[in-house]
Amino acid sequence: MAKLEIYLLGRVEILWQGESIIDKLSHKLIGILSYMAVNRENSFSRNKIANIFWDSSDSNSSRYNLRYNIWSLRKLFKDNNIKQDIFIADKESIRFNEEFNIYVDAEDFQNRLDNFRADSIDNLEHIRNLYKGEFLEGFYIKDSSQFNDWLFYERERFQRDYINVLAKLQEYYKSTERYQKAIEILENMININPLKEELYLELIKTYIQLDNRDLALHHYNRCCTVLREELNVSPMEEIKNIYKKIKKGEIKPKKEKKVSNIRKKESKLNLYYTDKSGLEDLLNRINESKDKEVIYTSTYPVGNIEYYWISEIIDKIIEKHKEESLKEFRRNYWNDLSMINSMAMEYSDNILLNISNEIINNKVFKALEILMKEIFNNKKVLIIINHFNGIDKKSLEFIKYILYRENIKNISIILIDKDKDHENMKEIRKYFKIEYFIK
Amino acid sequence: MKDVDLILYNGNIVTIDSSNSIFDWILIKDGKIFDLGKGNKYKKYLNDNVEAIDIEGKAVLPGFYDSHVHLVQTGLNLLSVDLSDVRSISELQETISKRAKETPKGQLIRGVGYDDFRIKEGRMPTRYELDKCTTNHSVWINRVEYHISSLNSKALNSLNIPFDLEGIIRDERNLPDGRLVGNASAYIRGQIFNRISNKRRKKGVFKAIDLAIKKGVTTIGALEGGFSFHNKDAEFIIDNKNAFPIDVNLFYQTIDVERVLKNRLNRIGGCIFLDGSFGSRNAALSQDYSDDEGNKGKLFFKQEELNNFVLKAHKNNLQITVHAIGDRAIEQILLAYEYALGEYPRIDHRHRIEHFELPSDEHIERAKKLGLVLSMQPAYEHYWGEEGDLYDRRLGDRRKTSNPLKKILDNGLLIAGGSDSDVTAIDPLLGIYTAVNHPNKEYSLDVLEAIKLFTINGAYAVFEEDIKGSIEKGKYGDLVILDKNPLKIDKKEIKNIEVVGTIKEGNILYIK
Repeated sequence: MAKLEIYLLGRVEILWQGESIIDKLSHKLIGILSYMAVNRENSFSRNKIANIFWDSSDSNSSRYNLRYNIWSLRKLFKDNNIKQDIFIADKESIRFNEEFNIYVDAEDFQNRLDNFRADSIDNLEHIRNLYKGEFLEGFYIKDSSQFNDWLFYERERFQRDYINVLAKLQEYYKSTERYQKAIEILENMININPLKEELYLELIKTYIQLDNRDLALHHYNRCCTVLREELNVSPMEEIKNIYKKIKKGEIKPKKEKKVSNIRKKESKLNLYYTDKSGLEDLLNRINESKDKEVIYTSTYPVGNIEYYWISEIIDKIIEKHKEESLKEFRRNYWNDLSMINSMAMEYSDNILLNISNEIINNKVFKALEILMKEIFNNKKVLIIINHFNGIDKKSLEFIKYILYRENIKNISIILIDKDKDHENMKEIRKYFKIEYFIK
Repeated sequence: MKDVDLILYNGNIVTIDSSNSIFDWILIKDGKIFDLGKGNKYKKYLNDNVEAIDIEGKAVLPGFYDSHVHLVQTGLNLLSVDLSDVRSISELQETISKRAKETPKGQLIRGVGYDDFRIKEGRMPTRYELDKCTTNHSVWINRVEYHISSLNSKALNSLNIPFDLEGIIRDERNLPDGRLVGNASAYIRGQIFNRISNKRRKKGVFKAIDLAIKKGVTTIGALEGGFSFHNKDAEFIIDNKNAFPIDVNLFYQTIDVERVLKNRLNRIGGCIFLDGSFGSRNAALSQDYSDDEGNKGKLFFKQEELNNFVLKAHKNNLQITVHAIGDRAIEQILLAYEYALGEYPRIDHRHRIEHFELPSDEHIERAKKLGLVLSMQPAYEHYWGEEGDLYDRRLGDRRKTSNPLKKILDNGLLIAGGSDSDVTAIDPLLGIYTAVNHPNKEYSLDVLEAIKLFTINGAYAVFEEDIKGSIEKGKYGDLVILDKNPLKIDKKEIKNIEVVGTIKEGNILYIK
């Protein structure tokens, strides 16, 4: 079957039946294809697309331009004797034909990130290989500011996701003592941001693990030169200290301490612990400007009801957000959530799913993560969990799940209870860094 | 066969030799000074094949040295749009739009000298404002001291930016608005200079050299590469060293000793910024700035780090120089030199300090003891030294101690003169004029001493005093012809002297 391949991660490339057709496409057409390809399952308003790519002051002319471009694209494929139409379109809207065999690298990237097995090393390596460069690198449409702004947004989003993937890989290779691979990943990261000192520090430490003192010193000097030439600053104290220790021969490779194959990570999601008396002061500190949406939840500390806290947070999200935005959330995810929460049923197909307990976990965790991601939409959110030590096991697993994956940006979590040495706290502490705030 | 190639006669040849001799004529053969003297002895060399110029009593001096020039950046700035007179964002838009109409599509338009403190809006322009000027060109606006910048959307889009860099200013949608500060501005600067073609560098550099030649300069100390510049500038000078019509001596501004050795250079440094500048109030002082209480400026190196760099370069027999303006920075580099020379004494190293604007008496004595060369810019006093000028505002009474040229010479030290172009323009006569007419009279030099700053001392500062810097037999025929003799006119008139000819190794590069 004929295949259209759209590569957006790096310099844009479009292949039709294995041959590049980029030279046959106008700049705008490449832009339209890219824009639609990133959200391939969506249907797009013709007016919206026309306004993005042409001057919105003359809607007739911009719609005409769109029509012409779509026609020329259809013609290109018709010339190739393909019976199927690439687009399904009517007067108002247009979308890719699902029957048409289309591969989009950015979509593959995203799907693999969203996959619940996202953190398997094979998957992460695959994602890494998909990223050949910046999203639509060097591409620009000179008279379409909306498109260019979208481009900035997407480019940044993909870059951040890619860096997160690299960080996970580096962490994994280091914890499994595959230091050469860890170095390769660190070089990838330095390639994106050569001014990030922490990467050089990690590189130096990795060479120490390989017992290669010369290369450790070489990368110290490299760090000093880059920082001096680019920013005219000295390296941070930690790097200088490690340099001194290497010089004095005080530093030797050491075996990584493994914790279930995953080292304790400093989650980018901020995690705090306090008791009730410290909550107000903590809130004053971390939400001083009151710019965070606060969601107050509680566990059920007198008995273990599975999914209790998860259900609680779904209730709070539904209570706090408008029906329209909730309805936009995909129905299949509501179906998944409705397995453990009755309010979610209102948005679901009301069907009874017959699946195993293990699959329920996967489905619910995934669906709730995506719900939080879409509804919070990068806004700053502060989730307070009262009586944390009474949390049910499934919900505790879910909290670990979102903390590890870091797919929901800009959330902070406050855990409230009296005993910081309770087993639930120990479990969280085993994997993640917590900031304690005790009066 | 010709006995000589060029004869200049009937002149005032100010030789700057050790006896300060003055002659009437000079003969040049194979690029070198063949003979010189008084009277008519030159006449026996006159014949139809020899170029002979009656210079009608004008003065001939050794070709000038400018010991401190950022040559590539001077050149690139000459190709940029000067925004120093712009007073509002709409004026800026007008200026950039005008340049866009004259510039081939796709080419970068760079604006320099933009000063947001003098702009009605009091800020840098956003990309949305710059997009109104042109969508066919990348536009890059630099603030006057280069540490803050703005890009239009096209430029921003064409660069690979690490979005987690500190210093990307964002709009209400959290998208970059085109303005960059701190790390982001420095990073983008590097990216853009990395993309500037060497063809463009060449165009700018030759334009700058043309201007230098018209000011009588035959040797330039080019301080290139490193922070706030770009290493490609230094590499460009290395690759084109023999293509320039005048001599260009590279100072590679890096702390990477291996890189310099690999390039077979015998010197390292230049504007390795130990501190900032008085203008930006970050030159490092021991007392507060007079117009900024609590601010003593900033040192960018830790002493230990500087010591290590200086020691390593010194041990590798390199000549070293760094930028030190305020007294705290001067103290820091003196300590580093004392440390290195204490560990590994070396005679005739000629390590230098660039600027040396605010030394104490003790600093001068220690610099003498170390055998340092001071590379200074007398014209700073012309622009900033009078009452009410920059030095006065920033330093108060301390301005009476700035650039103490005479005191330094009287202590037996040697000063090489420069312009710091393009902080001030390449113009040795202005430097000589200011050194002679220093706002603090007690620091004024006599005219001959001032000329030496830009001739023989410049040569000494780069180990070239045996081949250049004075008009003596066997030295290169590098000469400048002036319409008036600076030794014979009122010292206030020196700045009005005109360069009427520049000769490099016997070749006439410029004649008015």
